[in-house]
Formats: sequence, C-alpha cells, structure tokens
Amino acid sequence: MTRSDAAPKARGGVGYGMDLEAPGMLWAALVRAPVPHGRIVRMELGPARRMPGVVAVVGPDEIRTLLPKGALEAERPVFPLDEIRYRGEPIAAVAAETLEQARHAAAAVVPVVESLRTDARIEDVFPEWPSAAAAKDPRVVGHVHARHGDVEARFRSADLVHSETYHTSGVHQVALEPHACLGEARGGKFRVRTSTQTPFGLREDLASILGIFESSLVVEGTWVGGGFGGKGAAFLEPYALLLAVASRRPVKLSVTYAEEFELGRTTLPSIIRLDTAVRGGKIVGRRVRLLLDTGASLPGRDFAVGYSIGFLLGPYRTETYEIEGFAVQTNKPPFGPHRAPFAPQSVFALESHIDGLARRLGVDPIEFRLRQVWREGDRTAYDQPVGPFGLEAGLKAAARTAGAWRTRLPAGHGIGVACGFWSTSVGAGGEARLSLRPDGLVILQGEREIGNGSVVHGLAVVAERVLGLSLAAIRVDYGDTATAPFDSGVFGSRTLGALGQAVERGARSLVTILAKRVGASEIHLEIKSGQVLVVAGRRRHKLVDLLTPTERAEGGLVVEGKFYGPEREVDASRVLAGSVYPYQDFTGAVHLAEVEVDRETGHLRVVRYAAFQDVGTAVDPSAVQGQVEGGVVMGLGAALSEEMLWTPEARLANPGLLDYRLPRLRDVPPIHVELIEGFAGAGPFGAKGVGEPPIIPVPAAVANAVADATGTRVFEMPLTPERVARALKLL
Amino acid sequence: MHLDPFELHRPESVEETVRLARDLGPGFDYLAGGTDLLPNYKMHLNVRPHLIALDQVRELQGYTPERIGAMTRLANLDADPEIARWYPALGEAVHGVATPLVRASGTVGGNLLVETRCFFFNQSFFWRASLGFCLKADGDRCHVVPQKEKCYATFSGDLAPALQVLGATVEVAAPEGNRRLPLDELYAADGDGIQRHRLGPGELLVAVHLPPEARRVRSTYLKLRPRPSFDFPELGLAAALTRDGDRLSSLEVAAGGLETYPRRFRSITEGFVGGTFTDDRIRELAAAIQAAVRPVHNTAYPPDYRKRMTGVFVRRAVRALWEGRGAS
Repeated sequence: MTRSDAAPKARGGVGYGMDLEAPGMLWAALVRAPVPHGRIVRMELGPARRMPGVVAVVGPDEIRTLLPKGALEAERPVFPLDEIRYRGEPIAAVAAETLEQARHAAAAVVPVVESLRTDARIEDVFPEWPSAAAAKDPRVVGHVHARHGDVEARFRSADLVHSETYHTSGVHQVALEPHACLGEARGGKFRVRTSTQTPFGLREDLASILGIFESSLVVEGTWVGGGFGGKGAAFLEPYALLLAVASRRPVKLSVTYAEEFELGRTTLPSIIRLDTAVRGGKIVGRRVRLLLDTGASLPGRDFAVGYSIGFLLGPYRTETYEIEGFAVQTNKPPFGPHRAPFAPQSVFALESHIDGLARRLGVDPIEFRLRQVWREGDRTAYDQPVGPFGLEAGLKAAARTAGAWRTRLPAGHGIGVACGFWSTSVGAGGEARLSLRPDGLVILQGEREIGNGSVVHGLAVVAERVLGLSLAAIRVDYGDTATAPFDSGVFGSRTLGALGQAVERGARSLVTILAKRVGASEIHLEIKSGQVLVVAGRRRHKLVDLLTPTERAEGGLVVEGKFYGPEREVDASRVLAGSVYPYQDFTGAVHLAEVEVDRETGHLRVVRYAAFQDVGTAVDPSAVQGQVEGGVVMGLGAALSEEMLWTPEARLANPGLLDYRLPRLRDVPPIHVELIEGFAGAGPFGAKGVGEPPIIPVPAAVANAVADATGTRVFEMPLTPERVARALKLL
Repeated sequence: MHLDPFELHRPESVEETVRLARDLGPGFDYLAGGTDLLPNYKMHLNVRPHLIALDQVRELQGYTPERIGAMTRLANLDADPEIARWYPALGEAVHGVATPLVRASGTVGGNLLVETRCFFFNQSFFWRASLGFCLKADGDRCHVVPQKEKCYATFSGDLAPALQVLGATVEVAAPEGNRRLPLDELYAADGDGIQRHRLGPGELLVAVHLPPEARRVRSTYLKLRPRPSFDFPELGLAAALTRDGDRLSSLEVAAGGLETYPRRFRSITEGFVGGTFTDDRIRELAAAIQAAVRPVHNTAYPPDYRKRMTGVFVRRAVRALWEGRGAS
C-alpha cells in the first residue's frame, strides 16, 4: 500500500521546521546557563540589545513586563526566576535579522552566576539506598509504594531468593529533526508552527506558561521530523513566542543537535533492585525497588515511578509483592518520554533477572516464563483483569524459532529471549470530522503526520474498511488547533487505537445515515468515474443525489466521530503512597536475539533477530512490520551503543551524533517479524497499538543472549564492549 | 551550526600552493576532503581566515602502486582490488575509515594529517566555554591530564599505522623545494596533540611513496571501534612481517588511536626479528607493546580497556600473519 504522504516527503515537497518562513521573520538564539545549579547574580542584556541586527533580547524580567501575570505563576516559567537547575537551561533569548547575528548576540550575554551544590547522579543525592523517610527529601519528586499479600512470609519460606541490582543509562529520541518552531504574536493573539506530536496538549502547556487563554493561541504542526516521545510538551515555543511579543515580528527558533541533546527531555538513568522468592519452581514473592533519575524535574512526578513499576512487575502472575520507587531530582536536564517511556530500561532489569533465575533453577528460560506469564482472565498486580493477551502464544512461537536456531549454533554464540509487556494509551480521547463529498471522503483531524504513518495512512485504512471506499478516494486532512476537532496526540501507541475509533465511529454513522436514506439495511460505498456511489444490494445511488440542499452547499455529508476510552481502575487498597497506573489494554512482544560474543574484546555482534508481537489485528501488515523493525533497531541502539554520558559535573560528554552512537544500517542484523493475531485489542477491528512494544524487550534479549553464550551476566545497559569485558573479567 | 566566513583560495600547482601558503603566514588551513576540517570549523575550533583548497593542485592527484598522491580520494583506493592485494594493511585501513560518504570526499593526505581528537576538544563552543576552553583551542589548560604544558589529544587517522609498517615515505613540498622523509618522521614523537605533524610553515604533503619491499611482506590492519559501520579508531593496529620457514625475518607493528601520534614499536619488534617465532614469543611481543602504550581518557573507551585490547590485537594480527591467514 502507498502512503499519501510518501511521494511529497520523498521528493522534498514538504518543509522541515527549519524551513518555516514568514514575512518579516527574525531568527532567534538562546542564552544558556553555564552551570548545572546556581543563581543568576547579574545578567546584562543591554550590550546584546545594541549589537548589529538585534531586535529583541528577553530574559526573566520580560516575563513580568511582556506577559500576563499568570506567566510568573507557571509551574515552569519561560525562564527560571530563581534557580538554574541544569547546565544549558535557557536563561535569555535573542531575536535578530540573521541567525548569525542572533547567535553572536546570545554569546555576548555573559551572566554572573553563583554556583550551588551539584547533584549529577542519583548516587550524589542518595549515597545509600534511601528508606521510606526519604520521601520527604525535597529532591524526591515522586514516591510510589505498593504491596499485596504477606511478602515477608513468602520470602521466609522460599526455596530460593534471587537478588540483583541493575543500572541503566539515558538514551535520546534522536528524531530526524531537532526542535524548530516559528512563533507569531499580534494583538494578544498567538500562533506557533512547530513539529509536535500533541498540538492540543502543547496548546494547553503553552497557555499556562504564557499566562494566556488557550483560545488566544493556535498551534499548527509541521510535516516531518519524527518525535519518538520528544515532541510533546513545550520546548522552544515559549522562547519564540516571548520574542515575538517583544519584537512584534514573527520569530523562528531552531537548535543544533548539540543543543537538542543538552536540553534533554528524554530517558535518564535508573537503578533497579529486584528480589524474587521462588518455591516449588514458581515465583511466590517479589520485591522491587527503584531509583529513577528525573533530572531537573519539579515535584509531582509520581507517574514516572508509577509507570516504571508497572513494567517491573511484568506480565507475570504475582502472588505477593512489595514495590517502592523514588523519582530523584538531579541537575541534569528534565527527563521526558522516549518511545515506550520507562519500559526498555525496566524490562532490561526484569527480564535479565527472570532469565538468570530460570538458569539458576535449571529451567529453560522460555519454559520458565510460560509458567508465570499472564493469560486472559488472570489478575494483574493491581487486581485488574487481564484482557486478550498474546504473550503465551508469542513465547511458544519463539520457542520453535529458538529451537531451530539452536540446532546450528556456532561456538561463542548465544540465544537470548525476553518478553516486553505494554499497555497502550488507548483511553486518551480523540475526535475526527468526516466529510463525505460527491467525489470522496475527507477526514479532518488534528494530528500532522510526522513519521509512523498511523495518521495519513492508518486512519484512511480504518475508513476504507468500514465504508468499502477505496483508499484513493479517501484523504486525511489536517487542521490547526483552531480548525480541527480535539485529539489527545500521537503517543502511547494510541493513534490507530483511539483516534482510529473516532474515525470508525464517524464512518459507521455515515453508513447508518446513508442506509436510511436509501432504505436499505446494509450499504457500502464505491467510487466510479470520480463519483461516490452508495451501493445497496444491486442498487447504486450517486451520493450527490442523496445529499440535502444544505449538505450540497456545505460540500458533503459531515459527521463527527468521537472516542473517549473508558476509565480503568486499580485496587487502591494495594497502593500505600503515590499512584500506580491502570493498564489500558494488554499487548507486548517476545524477542529472540542470537549474539556472537568476542571473549577477548567483549565486542558483541547481533547475528540475527526475531520479534513476535501481539498486534491484535494487523490493519496494515506491512506498516506494522515497518514499526516493529524500526523499534527493534532503536532498541538495539539502546542495547549496544546509545548512551548519554554524564560527567561528575553534570556535563553531557557526548552531545552529538558522532559520539552518541546510533546504529547505522550496516550494524543492523536481519530481523524476522512474526505478527501474532487473534487476541483482540481495544482498537478498530481488534487492533492493538504497535509503535512502542517492539523497542521494549531488545536490551534484555541481547543481555540474555550474552549470558547464554558466556554464562556471564551484564548488569548495566548498554552492553558496551568495555562493560562486557569487565563482566568477563578481562579487565 | 554555521561556518564563520573565510576566504577560499584554489591554486593549481604545488609551486603556487606553497607560495600562497608562505604569503598567508599562519592564518590558513589546507582544505583537502573537508570531512574533518569543516565540521571542526562549524564548532569554531581553531578557525582560520583563509582556506587553501587542494582539489585543483595537479601534482597531488592520482596514484600508482608506488606513489599515492595526497589528494587521492579514499574511495578510489577502497575500490581498487590491486591496493588490497599488494598492501592488505593499507586496503583494510582505507576500508575502515568512517563511511562510504566520508571516503568519497576524504583523502589520503587528509587522513594522514587529520586533526587529533579529544572529548574536551571536539565539542560545541558553548560546551568548551563552560569549561574555560582547553590547551588545544582558546584555553590554557588540559582537562584530560590537568596541567598547562602538554596536550593529550589522540591521533585518530587510520592510514598512518598501516603505511608505517609498510615502510612508506612521504614527499613534502616547501618553498625551498621538495624533500622526502620516512612517514614516522612526519609525526612528533615527543607527543603533543596540538602540533600533530612536523611540517614546517607552508610545507605541503604531496604524496606517499611505498618501497618495493612493501609488496613482499604480509600485512594487516585491525580497528577497534564501537560501531563497525563508522567511528574513529579507539585503537588502529597495523602489523607487517615476513616469514622464512620458522624464522621471522622482518616485523613491524604500529598503532594509532592510543596516543598523540601514530606510533611504530621498532625498539620492541626488532628484538624478535631473526629468531624462530613461536606462540610464546607472540605473547611476549603483545605483552611488551601493551605495556609500552599510554592511552589517556579522552575517547569513547577508557584507557585500561584500550591498553588491554592493544595486547589482544597485536597477538591476533601477528599470529594471523605468521600463520598466513587474514586477521580480520
């Protein structure tokens, strides 16, 4: 199938954020904090204002003078009003006639700064594992504690207690395009064009930062660039908009990739302790303890811990457990979502741990997982019923492939398996407007397609299936936040599942209306000679003849499709502090990796890879396969070489794509993808969201393959040659 | 990232080039493939007001198996099966440089004289400014080994060690005329990462010459790096030897990616030449070279790992050559 955005994108027919232009536009640059923690004692903006080409310079004072009062009370004001919380935090901004002039003027702003104590790492805040009392520490910005059953008794009576500690590193989304936006402000009305996954969420966020009503602001997405979680909340937009107010001209702000890295909003390190009690070959008790580095985040980050913990309990039956986690504030940039937020890291720890436990018990790792993995009807740790769930089927399929691989496994190679469990954000609501015109269907909605195809292609396929109309006659249109109906955004693998249901409902009401008009119980649509026909049995009606005069005047039959997911609930009695998150639906993947380990250097080569993913129903199998392959490649980066390296002074040592090492095509092994269908999800036709699950099990599958090849476990990801060499005692 | 303005000169002969270089004084850089220089300029690293582009200079173009012009593109050597057959170490080193796109622009001369690299140097202006800059650019102290005298930036070319073990010499043009010198002498063995070569003011690397013996030795180049598809060497180990029955009649080992210059280990290897060569002797050789190298913490892998891998790579390379098989 061909995506409608493929040709214009391949031919360069749509612009990047960097290509945005407006008449009279200025270019902007940021002044960034030179220390990771401190106070600005003095910052002279006057000299920069007098530099060639400079039209506006704004700092903390301009929040007060140029924006409504609410801007000073925002949770995170445009610029920090008191403390600098991370190195590189924007503290002022410049708009000038050219980019060079803006950058030169920004470099000329040299603040006098008083440095404060830096907490670069979790260990700087908590040299020892914190007790529950640490929840009161001001640097703890999230705390979750939950338990169920008599954990202590189960641990006391266990045959075996398996205890390990894992460390994970930060990885960056590395979207194709770094952030870029163009802001305009005129007569109290604001408009921003930006690459975003969540136009409506961004509008809400920006309105609160700028102290304005949402109705005063219009957000319009750009067409390309990718997001992977990194393009949700406000990023550069507040600076561009404040400069637009100050200069009364449109302002474009883009950043280099070094700046993109240093501004953060991505995954940060974690430390995970796991204790598992086993009796009679079965898991009977779990203890999970988690420290999550959330960088320069503000209080109220329980959700980060809650999400992580959801994946640390895993897709396994858990009779008794105790979980406690802390979100720890450090002087790194604030954390943010990255494809399947918190899951690859949590699952690296959990699935390494489970795998090691199986090996310790002398049980085949796949067989061991099959003993505990959820089936439909099981209860989760939060006492939710498990819905249709394909991981048992995935494990069985993986067992067959692993068996085949093992028959010809060269010396020095190992095979690793890992499960990844995911709950998509299918509950987050969305709406779409469907206009059936005499010559075809137009779906108007609020998301602009920046990558995965779920919008321009996925939504069209849903309408095609319901209406019978061919894809060529369906167009997915996009509107800004002023013209398009509301949608929650492209995140959490929800686009097809939630927005797709809005389209499905809209399409079904079209069918109902038209069936009534032609007096039939069943109809479908066809396109012939550019005319939409309503087909009822052997009768064919031109759509144009079925429209009312008003509809004709409006160009077609217009319906609204809305979908707001049901609320899910957890058993709150199990939650002692903070909050955990109900699973929305149940999906996941089983991965297999064959890895060759160089036992003298610690270098790993992933020889081949297989992914078995529960997709509910593959609405477009080739598009789904593309998502799975992309997720595996991204996961391989996190497993092998991608890592944000922080110095003890909270300085990012590798803010660039030479030293932050993404896999290149030549580094990627053949990937076998098997879609598991038949376990219906919450989306249209039983589809489940597919974008996030394929990244989740990868680091664990690779680590388990290393353990299989060498008998040695690596407790830290990524599995760099140095870490493998240390684990193998080569150093 | 943007380039600061510079004036571009495009001479057409060596004579014109060195004259121009003399006239411009220290305020210029030679521009060969530009794959390293221009990214560095974008980071405002030691930017000069003049660039002398070498792509039109006749005498630097083209190659024969005996003489390789400095402006020969790496992709051309990479595509030539005769290079790989006659000089395996050179072929492997060329093939290991960066990516196809970089090799299409990158040149032999550019790789031999590539800027040394360091965590504290190859960074944005903002990044370096927040540390008060460093000895190698805009500052007065080294952050790798904190002091103010010596720069520890690491030599990161791939071709130099391969050409060293093959006994290459280089042809250098100066206003006073051309001179030839062994490749080793192109580099400053007293080890400073700032002055990465010993060319005098205005001198120009014209070509690399390979002696007839280079075709008779067995040679190989092994590269340690995070991604097989890319990345500068964390260690680039070249070895060449000739075997006469059980007797080792010649042996050369050189390494890049470890110190400030590509280092040939002749004082160690000469002790092994002439005698019979055994597995134990190979281990002794590897241990001696491993003990001699002094990597510092300014690249992706830590020094203890790179040092340890030096021993592994020497053993692998030399054993493979001794046994007459490929090492990589």
